Amino acid sequence: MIPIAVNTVANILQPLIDVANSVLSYFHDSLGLEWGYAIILLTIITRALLIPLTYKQLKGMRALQAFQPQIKALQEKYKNDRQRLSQEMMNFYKENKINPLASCIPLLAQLPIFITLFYTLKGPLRDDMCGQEVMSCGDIPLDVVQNSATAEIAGEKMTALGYSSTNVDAIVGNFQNVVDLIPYGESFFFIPDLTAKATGAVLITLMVLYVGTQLISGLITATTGDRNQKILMLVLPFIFIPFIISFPAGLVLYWITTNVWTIGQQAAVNKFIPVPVMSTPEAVAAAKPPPQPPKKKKRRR
Amino acid sequence: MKRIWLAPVFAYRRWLSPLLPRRCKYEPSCSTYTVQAVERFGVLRGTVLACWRILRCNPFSHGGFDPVRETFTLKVGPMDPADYHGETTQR
Repeated sequence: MIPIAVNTVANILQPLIDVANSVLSYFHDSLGLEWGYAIILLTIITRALLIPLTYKQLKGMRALQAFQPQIKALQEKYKNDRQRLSQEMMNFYKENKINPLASCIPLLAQLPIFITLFYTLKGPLRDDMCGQEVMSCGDIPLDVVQNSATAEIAGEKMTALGYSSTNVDAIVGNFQNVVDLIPYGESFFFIPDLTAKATGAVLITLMVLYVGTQLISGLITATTGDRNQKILMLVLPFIFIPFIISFPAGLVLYWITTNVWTIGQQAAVNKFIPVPVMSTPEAVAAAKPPPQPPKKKKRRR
Repeated sequence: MKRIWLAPVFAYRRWLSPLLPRRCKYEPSCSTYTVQAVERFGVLRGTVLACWRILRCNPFSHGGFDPVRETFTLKVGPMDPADYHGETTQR
């Protein structure tokens, strides 16, 4: 059941996988970027394309300020019926075309992007990276090849390890290629192989970076004061760790990059666009008496 | 069957949703709508309605109050809460 589901997902996403693969290959081959930078650039471009949406949302939030009196009236009218209140609020947003919420599609769209990158790193990109088609990169006994003085010695060692003669001939024939390409193509800073699971110190570093960026981005975007939710938010990155360990390192790189982007974007928003008074009951209770809206309107322009 | 099908939605609502700021432009939210639609119309028709709703919850829509209707139809859209609660006729 599960393998069938996995295959189906891979088949449905095949066009996307092809696109991601050719974009990454373009960054690598034509722009001359290392694969790691190619992944980071892809992440940055994806997030940059989403900026207009964030901006639109911020505009909606600012527009809300002009409607504070009406919103307060609604909150007063339905203060004993929370469900009805949210119905009326959404209706009010719709009527005035000021809905400040982000909508669900962008959230769900991240999932296919993520899965696509997963399959790209596991499949086509793996072969592109080492330029070796007989065996996939991870199956080449790199340490053996690199620690052998000549191609023949590497070949003998591989035969002794039980590799088939076809593979041995191909690898030995491409000996120079393999040694040159693999360290260049697959490694990135401290990550030896972007398409494989990280291990040891590399894995720990990646996990620290992931949990760190995830926590900071969670804290900086948090809108709730609820204590349980904050605890859950602090715990969640750690719950994800067992899953992330089995991801290709390049995917973790994507995740860390996108977290860093979120942090930067939110910091910029907080700095340059002051947080408007959101229409929570607490905010209303704390707000000054209403006869101010004309002033607010003017200030907005 | 419905429960199994909805398990990911329940997991999202229990674990992920509380961590994120509200995103959905509609009331009830897309996940609540999905649960209600599947429970009212079954897995197939409920899922169709849910997909249609999620497609409508895009950055270009204005959202609004959009409950699961009594009968199965794709001609859905935001409505006035007062109509839904039968207040308009009383006036």
